[in-house]
Amino acid sequence: MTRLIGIIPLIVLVCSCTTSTNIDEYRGKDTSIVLDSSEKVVVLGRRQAGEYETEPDFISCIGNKLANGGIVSVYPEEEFIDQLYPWFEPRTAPLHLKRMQRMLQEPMIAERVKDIGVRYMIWVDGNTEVTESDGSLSCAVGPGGGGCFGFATWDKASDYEAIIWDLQDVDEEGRVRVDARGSSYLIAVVAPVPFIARVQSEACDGIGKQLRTFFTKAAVVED
Amino acid sequence: MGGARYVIVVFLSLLLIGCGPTNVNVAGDFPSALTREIPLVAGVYFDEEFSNYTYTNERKVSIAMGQSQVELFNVVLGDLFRQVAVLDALPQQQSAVDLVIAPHVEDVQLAMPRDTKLQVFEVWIKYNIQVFDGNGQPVADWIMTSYGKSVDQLMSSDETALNQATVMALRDVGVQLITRFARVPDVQRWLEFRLKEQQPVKGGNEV
Repeated sequence: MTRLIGIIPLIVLVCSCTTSTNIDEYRGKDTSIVLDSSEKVVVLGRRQAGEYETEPDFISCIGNKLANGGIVSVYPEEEFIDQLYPWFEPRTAPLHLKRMQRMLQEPMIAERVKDIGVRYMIWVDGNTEVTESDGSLSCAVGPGGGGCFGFATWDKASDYEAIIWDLQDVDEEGRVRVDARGSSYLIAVVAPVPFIARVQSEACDGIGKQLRTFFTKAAVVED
Repeated sequence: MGGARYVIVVFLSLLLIGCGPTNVNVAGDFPSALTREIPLVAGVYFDEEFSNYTYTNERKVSIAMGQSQVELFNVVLGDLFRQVAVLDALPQQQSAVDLVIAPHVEDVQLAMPRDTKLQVFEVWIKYNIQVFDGNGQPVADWIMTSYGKSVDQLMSSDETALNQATVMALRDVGVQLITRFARVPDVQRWLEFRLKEQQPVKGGNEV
């Protein structure tokens, strides 16, 4: 019975560090984007804001989720930026379709994009941040041993928006917006025990799976 | 209990490491630039101070960026001009190059999360890019400021973050050389005059 009383708060804690995720989408067309085998998609993070930048590991997480279904072939972000250097650096990257269109009118840029086979570009803007934190934790060590004692909690929020651009027709195919919230806890009685809410990975999972639904593979015609 | 003690000792050791000096030897890859070529032969002169430039401040932060900035200028100028020669000295009389570029670091500023309370490391590098013609006559003094930032990440050291921010600032130098060099008014006038003598080729990049 005593053990049960100890376990109940633990279960409550584990349950309370779950994450809530909301996903909204907008589609420019009713039909899916049909990708043929030579067409690739690149996912890029926006890095223009002064106080934050869209995390590179979040971008590669979305890339992995997109590629998982076997429909979308994803071109690595870093390689794309290097191949098109200096046109996708924070100072020069096209943030609007009009600028992208102007950029693609420059033959050397259009040719490079064509050469590497990238047809669609997904711009991801947003970040994950700690919105609130509370509690205190202290650790001490002495000749006889050491340990930590205390309780800490923090809330994290992820807000991201992904915009899909078609680089051939130079138009917007759709948008996906995701926001995820979650609270994490750290309880320390000698050794610290964390209960971490996977806010960013939930956001990645949500946005990645939703983006995947925009694409289908072109049917292979056999003679 | 032994495991917990080990974790705490490691934690305290990491805290002590965090109190030491921050030494960064900037290392990064600078890709070839996608640019229209200016049909001229350029000479580039890096003086001793530029080639071995190390920024230091009173908070024991040291960033050795000389080698990386030499590498960046070599790559980008090599793409921007038809041909580039590295010079041992500034030409005093008629030379084999059409123009000479001599960059100097004027100032470096850092902003770290403990100063700004933002989760970013920021680096500003102010350059004076001196441009001379092939006879060593001054054409322009172009003051250019580049900027780079990197996000402070859990379990990542200050050295890693500062290296990344400095590499971003150096890449930004490349961006400005490609997109703005030919539009610096004094350079633009000189290029128009020089290229008129050759053939009407559009140099520089405006996208």
